[in-house]
Amino acid sequence: MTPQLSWYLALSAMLFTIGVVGVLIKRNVISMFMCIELMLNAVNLTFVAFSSFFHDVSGQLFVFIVMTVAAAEAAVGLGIIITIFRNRESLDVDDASVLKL
Amino acid sequence: MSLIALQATNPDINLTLIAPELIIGIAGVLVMMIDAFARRGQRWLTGGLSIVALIAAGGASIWLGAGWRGARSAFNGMIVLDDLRLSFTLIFVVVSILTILIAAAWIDIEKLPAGEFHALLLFATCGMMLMASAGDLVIVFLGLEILSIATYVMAGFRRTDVRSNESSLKYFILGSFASAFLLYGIALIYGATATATLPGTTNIATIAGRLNHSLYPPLLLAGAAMLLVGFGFKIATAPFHVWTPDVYEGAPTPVTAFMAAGPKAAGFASFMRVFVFGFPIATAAASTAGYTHKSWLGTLAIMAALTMSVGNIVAIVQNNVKRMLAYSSIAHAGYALVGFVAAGAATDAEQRSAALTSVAFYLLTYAVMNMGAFAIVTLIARGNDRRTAVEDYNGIGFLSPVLAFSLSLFLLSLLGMPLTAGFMGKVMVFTTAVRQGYLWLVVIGVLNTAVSAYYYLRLIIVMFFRERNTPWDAPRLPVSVALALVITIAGVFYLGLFPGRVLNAFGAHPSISLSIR
Amino acid sequence: MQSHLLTILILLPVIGAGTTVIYSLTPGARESHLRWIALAFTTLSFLVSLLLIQGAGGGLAAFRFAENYSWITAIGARYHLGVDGISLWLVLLTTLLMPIAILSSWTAIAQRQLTYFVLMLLLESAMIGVFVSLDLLLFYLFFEASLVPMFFLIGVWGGERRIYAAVKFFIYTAVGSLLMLVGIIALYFIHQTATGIGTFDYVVLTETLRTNVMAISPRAEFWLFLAFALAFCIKVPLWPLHTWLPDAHTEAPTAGSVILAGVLLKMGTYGLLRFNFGLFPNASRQFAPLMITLAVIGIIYGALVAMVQPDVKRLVAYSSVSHMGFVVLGLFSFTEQGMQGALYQMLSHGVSTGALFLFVGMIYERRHTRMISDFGGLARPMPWFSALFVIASLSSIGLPFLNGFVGEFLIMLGSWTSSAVQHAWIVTMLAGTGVIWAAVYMLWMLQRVVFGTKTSEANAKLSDLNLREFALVLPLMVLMLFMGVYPGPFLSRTRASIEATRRFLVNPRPAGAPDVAKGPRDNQSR
Repeated sequence: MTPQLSWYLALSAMLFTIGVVGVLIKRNVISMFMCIELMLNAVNLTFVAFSSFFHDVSGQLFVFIVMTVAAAEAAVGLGIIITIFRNRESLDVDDASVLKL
Repeated sequence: MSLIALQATNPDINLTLIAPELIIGIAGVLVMMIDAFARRGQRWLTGGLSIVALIAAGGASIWLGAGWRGARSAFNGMIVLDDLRLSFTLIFVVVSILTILIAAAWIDIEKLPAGEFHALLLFATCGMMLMASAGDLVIVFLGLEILSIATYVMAGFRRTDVRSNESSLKYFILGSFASAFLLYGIALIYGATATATLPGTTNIATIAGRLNHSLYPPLLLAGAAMLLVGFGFKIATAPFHVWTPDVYEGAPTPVTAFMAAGPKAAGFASFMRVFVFGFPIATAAASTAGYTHKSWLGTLAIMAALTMSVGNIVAIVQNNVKRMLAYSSIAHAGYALVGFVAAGAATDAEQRSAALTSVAFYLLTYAVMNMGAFAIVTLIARGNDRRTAVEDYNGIGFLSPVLAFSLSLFLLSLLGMPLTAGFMGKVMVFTTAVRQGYLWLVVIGVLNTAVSAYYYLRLIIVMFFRERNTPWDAPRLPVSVALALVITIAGVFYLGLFPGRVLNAFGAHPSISLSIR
Repeated sequence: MQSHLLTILILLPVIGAGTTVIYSLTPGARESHLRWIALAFTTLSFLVSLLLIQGAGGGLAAFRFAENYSWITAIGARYHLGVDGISLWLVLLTTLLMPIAILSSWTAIAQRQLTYFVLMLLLESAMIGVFVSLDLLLFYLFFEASLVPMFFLIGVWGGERRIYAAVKFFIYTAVGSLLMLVGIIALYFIHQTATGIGTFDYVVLTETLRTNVMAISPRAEFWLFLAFALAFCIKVPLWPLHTWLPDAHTEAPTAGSVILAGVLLKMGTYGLLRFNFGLFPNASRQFAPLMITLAVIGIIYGALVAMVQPDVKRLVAYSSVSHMGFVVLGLFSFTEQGMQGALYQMLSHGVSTGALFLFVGMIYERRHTRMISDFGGLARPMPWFSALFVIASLSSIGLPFLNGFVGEFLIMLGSWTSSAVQHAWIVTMLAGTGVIWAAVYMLWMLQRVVFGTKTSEANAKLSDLNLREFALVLPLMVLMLFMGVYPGPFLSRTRASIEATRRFLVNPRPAGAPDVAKGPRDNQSR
């Protein structure tokens, strides 16, 4: 049986959902950050799947853009995380409660 | 033939069409370089250069609007030129100039690296401009990320302050979360717009034409829903607003002012572009296009009502001025959404253009009065935002009359009292909504205005009608902030009394290039 | 100058406010000079406003001194000003009361004088603007703008419970008028649907209504009437929306009370007469029984509550509720006498209640109390004060030959003969008891304050009116007598405008359409 488009879409939807749930329930900043990366990669999978089935290269190009942006985001995000760790030596978001949530 | 091959044969490069973005981008790089090599005494250089660049970008977009005969789109529809773009570009320019003026005092007091701040601000502005000029979801995403990444850093700019760190972290996590939703929406739209013969597309104008030929209509709806969530987070509409108060409270005050006015307006620009033009009103209500349009419009109307109510009601119980203004900014996004709903429901190009103009005008008025209010909050707060509680404003009315009366003016404008910009903004938005038959939404809007009187007046009462028991050392009014105040006060009255010119300029060129299909 | 008279009138106080600020910034500025500048500008406005009377004798119904410019082209809002018989005297009342109010603040306002006089001047601009605007959006602008100075006047210079009073005043009136804004916008689109052109212009709107070019569906008219009437009835204030008034009056400084009673309340009745009657004639007739019932309840309720007030200022405040009830009754009688009387009563209430508040302010300045029980026997140490206070009170009661009588008599005459009112004689009788109650509470108050035995030694040493205080009440006393004896000049100038409004109201058919009119009385039957 050859893989159908829907298989890829289902997989990426699952990955995306895992990412969303992870961001919502994880309490460690690094884990939350990884879940966001998971969401982005689920999107990439969707793009690549569509691109491949349409025989259209623009979806794959989109993936490159997403990867670049994700790298930039990671750089800034880790910077922010390091700063906050320096100031309070904890990465648990529940500790980050000077501001009400 | 694939789209890429088409683009390879005809790259359709038109640098004049992205002149404002280019100017700001190059200026941002220059500012960064100057900051690296300049001596300490030359701090003012970066600020001056940034303001010059912003004015040049504003001039460039006015010039683009004046020389209307040129191309309306470039880079194969990636960049478009219409009212929506031009009016929002001007709003961004105003917001960024005011931010630089307000931030000057704050940077001075806290000894922060000015050059870095100005460079980040310029990059953020460039991102906002791209969001407004995007004709393609790719550019929307890119502009959004350029904006967001710069703003994350700006929110955490006070590096040693835990509140600023937290604000930055929360903004980053929720911002990326929202971006991921947006991106997933784009991916689904890309898949859903494929037809039997053509591959999918991310071009907004093309999407509108493909709606009824979609191979996978459910994907289309899912994609639109994801986009709605993503944009909903970005412009802080209820129920996606929960991050706003924390982030706004913790970020340095000038950055809060910027975030409430600039990125929010940019979000509106793309949001409206994607939904009003990408999923336009359809002649056949039973078609996929009609169904999609009806779904998002109905959802948005409910979101607008919810956003206004939540923002205003929760603002009443706030004891921190920045937090109160954060909720007020949520509420104002709700009022602007009323105009957005009207734009979505408009059946002809003229009415739609009027509605889009009203939203742009509303966001301009909000930007002006909000920046003014935050300028004063910055001054009163002092270093490290120490004095931001409502009690800190006790009885300062006649001790610092200039600050107190200006702040009262901005609060009354935010409340929507006549003679001020806020009133005209509301009138414009509500007028277009009534025209499209959303009377119930307008009634909810005015009732919310009544609710908002409580918390805006509260601050005025505290300042003028109470006596101060603790000593008050009046803050010095630096030249840059004084200039910002003069601009904003003049703006509040000008937009409140003579909005005609601005409205005409914002609505001069309806977006006929993307006509209703 | 003639062609821009109204703009000049609106701008003069603003220029005055600017001058005050600039003067205070000059080196060597003295705070005590500020009131002179304010007095000069308000007096100048009054003198300029007198020019409005000229040529009004002919009784033209049309708007005079009209100025009509495009204001916001994008939505068709216009800067359209004009006065007719209805607004003429209200503008003059405003400009007359302002210098008096400034003069009454001469010594009472010792602190923050700059802000005080600037706010007073801005308030005058807004009030004049309300009465002369003929564009609904412009009208709304001034209507709301008048709130802010008053809010500050009560909140900063008011009595002990000033914050409560100021907030209550602001919230009540602001909330009430917000729905009017929705109504205004809705009206704009009804006109746009009918003619293709959206407009806020009152003259254009009434014209298209009267010529049947535009028709408002009964249901829409019902809601629009309510949206407008809510804003105006809160302002009047009509029972049961009156509760902000006693608080605001009691806590406001004397000048604030004078302006509040003298002018701000009239904005409500003016709005009903101008906009509700002019734009929604059918709904006006439909709502008349309700409005008349509320008005009569207000007349009696206000009087009864006034009777038991221990505070003189509160007593006068409640008497306002009663008197303004008469105005609403007169308006909704839809007879010429009733409506003329209502307009006349608006003026005379402004004059006599304004004077009463001034007198209360004078004794408050001397004794720092307003409790009736603290006074008594004032006639001996303060003969002039007592004499004039009694005259003002009698005018408020409605004694013949004083101004209050003319208005109330005309109103009752109108409501008696009105066919819009069911059981007209019962309504009139009930309203008539209001006059009797007024006599009771006023005379009882006089008896306890001015006459009677002195309850406190401090009262014996009080000084009589000084020259400034004479100057301040004299114009009002003269007006009371003049308006009571010779109402002709006033009524003749209002008649044509009132009649035009009334004719449309009772018979909103266009002139060319088949007319059902038989006689003046039959016209009023539904």
